[in-house]
Amino acid sequence: MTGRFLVRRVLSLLITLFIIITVIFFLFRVLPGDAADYLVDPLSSEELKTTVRKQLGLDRPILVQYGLYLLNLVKGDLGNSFVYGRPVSTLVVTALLNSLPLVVITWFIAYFVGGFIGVLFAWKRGSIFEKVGSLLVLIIRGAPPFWIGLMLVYLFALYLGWFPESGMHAGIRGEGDILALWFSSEFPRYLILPVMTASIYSLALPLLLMRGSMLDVLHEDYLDLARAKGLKEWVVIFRHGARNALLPMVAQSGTYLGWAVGGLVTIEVVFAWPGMGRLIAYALLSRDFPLAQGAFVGIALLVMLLYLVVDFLIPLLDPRAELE
Amino acid sequence: MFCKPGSTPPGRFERGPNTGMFSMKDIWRLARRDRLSLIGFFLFAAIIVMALIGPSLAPYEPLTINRGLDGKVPILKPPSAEYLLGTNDLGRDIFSQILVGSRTVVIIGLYGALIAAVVGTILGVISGYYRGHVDNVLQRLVEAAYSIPFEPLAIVIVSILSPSVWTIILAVSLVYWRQAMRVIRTQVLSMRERAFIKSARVAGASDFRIMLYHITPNILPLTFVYLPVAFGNAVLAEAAISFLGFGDPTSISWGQILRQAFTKGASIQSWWWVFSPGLFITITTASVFFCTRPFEEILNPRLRR
Repeated sequence: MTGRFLVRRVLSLLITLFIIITVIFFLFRVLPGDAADYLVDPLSSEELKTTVRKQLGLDRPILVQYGLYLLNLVKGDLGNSFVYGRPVSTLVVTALLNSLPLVVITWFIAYFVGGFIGVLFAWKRGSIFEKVGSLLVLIIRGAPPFWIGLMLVYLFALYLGWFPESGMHAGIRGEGDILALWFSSEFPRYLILPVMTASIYSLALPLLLMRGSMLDVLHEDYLDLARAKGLKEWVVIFRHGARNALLPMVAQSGTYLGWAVGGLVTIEVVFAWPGMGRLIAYALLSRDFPLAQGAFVGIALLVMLLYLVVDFLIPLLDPRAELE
Repeated sequence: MFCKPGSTPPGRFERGPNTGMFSMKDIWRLARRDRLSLIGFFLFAAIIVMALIGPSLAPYEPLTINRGLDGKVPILKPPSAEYLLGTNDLGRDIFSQILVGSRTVVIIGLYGALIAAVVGTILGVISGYYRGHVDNVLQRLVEAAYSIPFEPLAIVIVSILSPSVWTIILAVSLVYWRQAMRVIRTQVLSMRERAFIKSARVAGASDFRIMLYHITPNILPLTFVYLPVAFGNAVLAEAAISFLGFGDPTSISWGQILRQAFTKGASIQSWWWVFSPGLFITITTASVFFCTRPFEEILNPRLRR
C-alpha cells in the first residue's frame, strides 16, 4: 500500500517537474534575440555570431535543443553562465547553500513563534490582546517585506549600530569554505537582521493556520477531561490542545520551505545576501539566461523533494491521516 | 444558506458541509458587522480617489529638479510645509511622486486582480464541474504554478516581455489566478452535487449552459470577495517587481521610488525617502485586508475566525 502510494506520488511530482522545466525552457526561448546576441560584441561580424551559435548548438531545430537540454539536465549539466563563465550547476549549488541558513532558521522561528502566538490568539479569543494582535498581523501582511527590512536596517544597523547592515561575512561574499563561514563567530551577527525581517514577514500564515485549527480543537472533550484531572490551564492548552492542532501548520510548512528558497528575493537583495533569489534577480538584470534558467530548475527540484518529505511526515504526526 | 442568523454565534459560520452558496446580501451583512471592514473600505476608497485626482493635485512636477527662492536645488530636504514629504537626492518632491505614482499602483492592482479573478473563476468552474481528467490536468498546472516562488517567476515574465505596466499586470495575473481557482473549484465540486444542478441536467441543459447560468451566478459572490485580496497581492507584487529593477521605466510607482532610494543608498539622514512610499503601500494593502477580514474563512477554508 505504502509502496504504491510512493510510486504514484513520485510519478505525479515528476510530471509536475517536467511541466515546469518545459515551460521554463520555452519561456526563455521567447526572448528577442538569442544567446549569441548577448555574448558577442554587437559591433563584431556576423560570422563570429554564427560561429558562437554553432558552438552553443543554437543553429539546430528548437526541439533538438530541448531534447539535448533534458539529456544534459539528467546528467546534471545546466550549461555555462554567460557572465561568470562557470558551470551554472556550481553557481546554483553555492547560492542554494547560502540561502539555506537564512531559509531554515527563518522557517524555524516563523513557525515556532507564529504557531505559539496562534495558540495564544485562539486561547484568548475576544480579548484586547487578541484584537490588537490580529490588527498588527493584518498590517504586517500588508507591508512589503523589503520595506520592513530597510526600516530594520535604519533602526538596528544605522541608528543603533548593533548589527552590520548587509552582507554575509566581512570580506567573504558567498565564496570559499561554506562550513567555516557558517561556524565563524561573525556569521550570526550578519544573519540576525535578514532572519528578523524574513520571520516577521513569514509569521502571519502559520499564526493564522494554528489559530484556526486550535479553535477547532478547543471544543474537544479530551480537553475537558484534562481539566477534570486538575491540570493547569496552560498545560491543557499547550500539551493537550496545541499538540493535536499542529497538523495543518506542519502540512503547510514544507510548502513554505520550498517557496522561501528564491521567494525571499527582495529580502536577499536588501541585505546583499548571495542566495538563490538574488541570484535569479541579478542573472535576469544582466541577461544571464542560462543561469536564471538553471536556478529555476534547481528551485523546482527542491520544492518537489520537499513536497515528498511532507507527504511522509504527516502520517507520523497524525496516524489518522493514512497515506491516501 | 451560508450564514443563518440565530443558529450560529455572531461572526462564526455554520459548521458542517459547506454548500458553497452565499449571496451578495450575506457579504454586505458580514462586512457591516465588522467595524474594521468598514474602516478598510473607507481607506480603500480614499486610495482610489487619490489615484483618480491625486496626480492633478501634485504640487510639483514629480520629475522636475526644483529650485528654491534662493536658486539652490533642495537636495534631500526633510519634510516641511514646502515639501510635504521631503525631497530626494535630485531635489524632486517626494509627495508629488507619491501622488502621481498612486495611479500606476492602483491600475496594476485593479487590472491584475480582475484578470486573475476572471481566469481563476473560469478555470475553477471548469475544473470543478468536469472533474476527472480535465481536473487532473488543471490541478497539475496549479501545483506547478505553486512550486515556483512568485517573485522570481514574475520578474522572468516581465523581463522576457520587456518591462511595462501591462506586462506587470500580466505577470501578476499569471501568478495569482491559482488562488482564486483553488477556492472556486472546491465550491463548485460540492455545488455540482446539489439538486438544482441535477434537475437542470435532467431537463437536458448542456454542460456549458449549466456552468454559465446555474453555477457561475452562484459562484460570483466568491469571486467578488476574492477581488480585494488579489488587489492587495497585486500591489505588493508591483512593489517587489519595481524594487528589483523590473518596473516600467516610463512611469512612476511607489515601488520605483523605493528602488531609487535603495540603489542610491538613502541613508538614515534621508529616512523620509524610504519611509513614506512604503507606508502608502502598507496602507493600501492593509485596507483591502481589513475589508476582507470577515470573509477570511470563505477564502481560505483552513483559517477559521
